[in-house]
Amino acid sequence: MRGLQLLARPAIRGYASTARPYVPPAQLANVAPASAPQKPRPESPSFFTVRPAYYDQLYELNQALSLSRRALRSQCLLPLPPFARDALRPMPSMWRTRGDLSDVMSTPLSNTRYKSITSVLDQLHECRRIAWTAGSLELAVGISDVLTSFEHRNLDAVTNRKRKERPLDEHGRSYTVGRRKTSSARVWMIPVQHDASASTSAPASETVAPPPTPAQASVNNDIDALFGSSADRTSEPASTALAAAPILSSPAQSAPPVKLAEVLVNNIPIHEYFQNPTDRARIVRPLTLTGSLPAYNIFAIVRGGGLSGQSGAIAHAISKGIVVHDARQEIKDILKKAKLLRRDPRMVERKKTGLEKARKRRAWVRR
Amino acid sequence: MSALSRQCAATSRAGAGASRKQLLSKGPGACSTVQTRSYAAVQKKAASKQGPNGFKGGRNQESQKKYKVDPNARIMQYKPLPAAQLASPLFQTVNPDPLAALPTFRADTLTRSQASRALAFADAAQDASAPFRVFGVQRRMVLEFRLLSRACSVVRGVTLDVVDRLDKAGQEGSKGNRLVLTGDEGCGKSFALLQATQYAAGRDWLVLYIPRGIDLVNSSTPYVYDARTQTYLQGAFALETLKRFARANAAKLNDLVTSTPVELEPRAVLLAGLQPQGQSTNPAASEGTVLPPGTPITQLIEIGTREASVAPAVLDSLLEQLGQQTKRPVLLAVDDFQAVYGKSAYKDPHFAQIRPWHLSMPRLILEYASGNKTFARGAVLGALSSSPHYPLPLELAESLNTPSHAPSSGPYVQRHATAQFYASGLETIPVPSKLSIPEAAALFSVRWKGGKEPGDEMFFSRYVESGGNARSFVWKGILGGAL
Repeated sequence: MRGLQLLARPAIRGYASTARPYVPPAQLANVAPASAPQKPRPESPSFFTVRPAYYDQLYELNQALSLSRRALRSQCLLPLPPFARDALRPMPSMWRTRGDLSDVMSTPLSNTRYKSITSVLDQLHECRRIAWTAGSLELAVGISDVLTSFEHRNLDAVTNRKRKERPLDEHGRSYTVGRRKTSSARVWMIPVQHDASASTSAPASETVAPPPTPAQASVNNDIDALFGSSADRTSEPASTALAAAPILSSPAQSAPPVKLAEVLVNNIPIHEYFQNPTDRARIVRPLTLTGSLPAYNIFAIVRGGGLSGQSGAIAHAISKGIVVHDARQEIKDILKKAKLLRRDPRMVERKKTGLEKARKRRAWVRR
Repeated sequence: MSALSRQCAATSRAGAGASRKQLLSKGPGACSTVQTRSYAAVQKKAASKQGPNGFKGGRNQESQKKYKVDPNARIMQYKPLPAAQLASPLFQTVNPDPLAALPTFRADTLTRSQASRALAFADAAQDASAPFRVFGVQRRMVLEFRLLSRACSVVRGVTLDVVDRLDKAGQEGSKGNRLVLTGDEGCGKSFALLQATQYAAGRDWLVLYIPRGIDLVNSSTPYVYDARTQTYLQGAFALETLKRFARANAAKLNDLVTSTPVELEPRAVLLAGLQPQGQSTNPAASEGTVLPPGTPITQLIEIGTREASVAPAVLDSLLEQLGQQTKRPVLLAVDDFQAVYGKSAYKDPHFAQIRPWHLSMPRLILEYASGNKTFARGAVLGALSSSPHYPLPLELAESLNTPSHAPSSGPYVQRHATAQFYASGLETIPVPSKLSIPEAAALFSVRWKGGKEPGDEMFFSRYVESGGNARSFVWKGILGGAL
């Protein structure tokens, strides 16, 4: 009873009172604040990151993407079946360059960050494409508004440009560059001039074929079939001339002196520069596959790397050179299938810390 | 008994672990001395430890080095089985041997129409005295001929040129017909020389063929200083040369006789068992004898083949006599021609290098190559080779107008007057660096040993890869670089 009475009475002890004590105003004149002034709250949570502008932008783009996707899904336009995806209207797009985008966002962008932005932009562009083809123009326009500021300034010019033409120079030579590992090769290819007039050559010359034996007659037949006796071939690609040559010819006809490709590497004949038959075969392979062995004389300047890397670089350059001289699709297909037009991306893998080499680990010790 | 006891005492002192009584009871042969002098002790080889990856063949580099084969030696390791041992039906093929149908290389039918044709040399049964069978050939050719079932070659334009030149030289002397085959490495100089010797032999020439000129100067045969000639005589080489010359030209030497007196050394007289018949022309010379004119050449050769010490002088005299006669032309054919103009591997007693012209065999060749000595009818034909140890000397390169790849060349390098003298007046026959397509085709058809019939593509790609170079085309292109 007494305890309850005690509890009901208000606390009158000064140190435990909840009411504010009276302080005369003069006392509060030159008083420092009890706690530091509260800093303004940052606008976005990415304030404390290294590149807030980049992260903000990425967040906004991802937001836009998820909204667009939701909208498309609600219209049953996502996920799209493959036949519908193939039927989408083509809309080429090109984004600003990394430097441009860095200026726009006023923050430096690394390659990785730029790629992450462009990947989101690509996905948004895909949504726009679907929306445009499906006819939901509102959504398409909305996405376009988002993407406009990221598109290349000269979009039309860039999307309509053609692949850079590499013409032949005034002598009919092609100049191409090939690379493999750390080697790079510069290759000039000029079509071989096959002599049209075999009859005017001197009889004592060793290049005139004698009356052929049966074995040689077959060789001569094949040679005639391949090379014929057509006129100067500098203007047209050699392989078209080969195709136009007569298939069957009389064995009694004396074959014209046949010339095959000569390959000079750093001004040294190929058999002196490359002792290994594998390297030589690698260089000659593009010519063999396309049947252009008698067609071109090749001069190569190669630097860097070792012998097999140099041979790969020369082969790459020769393949590109063949395409320059002879732009037929079947030639390109043959070389593409043989992976000769593609710069081999394999390079030496770096050594990692804690490992002996790129992949070799140190010996495992139980303790 | 006392010796035995001393032996056994030594054994027991060394602590062999057997009691003296036991040793004595075993018998005299039971004791063995144990070497106590450390410098004469049996050297025990340190046991070769197997590395952690030893059995995997990883770390044990020493054993790997031991089995490294010299690439030059590897060439000679291939020896095909003789055909007589291949009687099993497994070795019988349906396809006939394409080389069996090859026409034979004959001197009388070698004309321009045979250009770019593969011709086989006559078999051993038919032509045992062919120069290449008697004198031998270059190392690479040995293996090539082993790989093929018949020795054959392709007639090229340069072959016909050389043959034409030999025909001309057959009427003239060798003074104006000192020829050297020049060209790039592997372009076919040695083969052209071989064909020339074969042609000359077929045309009834007397052929002296030295297939490996490097063997003259690489210190592989004995040499002895001779005060009379002031040169080092290579007796063994001269002896072999005489023997093979006699065998290769047996039928042609029977009707040849000496035309002038031939002076013989006393040793030769002794070996031949001759009575001193004439008087030496030089009264100051020591006792010798002179073979009168009209002596059969075969007798002279036979005297020289008795002993190596007399062979060099007899070889000199023989070539002199053959040079005087006009019944048959003489061909002196030397491969690795540049070796006789450079430096030799022989050393004199002061360990100074001996120059080739101070050695009897190279001197002989140099005398005829320079025109100092001549054949009344015949020619001297040499072929250069690209050897890293015996490169083309500067004097010879300048005389032949070929580019010298020697590190020391230019106006500030001293030229040796003797070498220049011996190199003067040589004529070059350049061998084309590239095979023509028909020649390459003939070569390809002969040497292709693959299973299926090769196509044009294979031929053309191999040709382009080798750049037309004959050696590269055959060894890397056709034979695949395995050897």
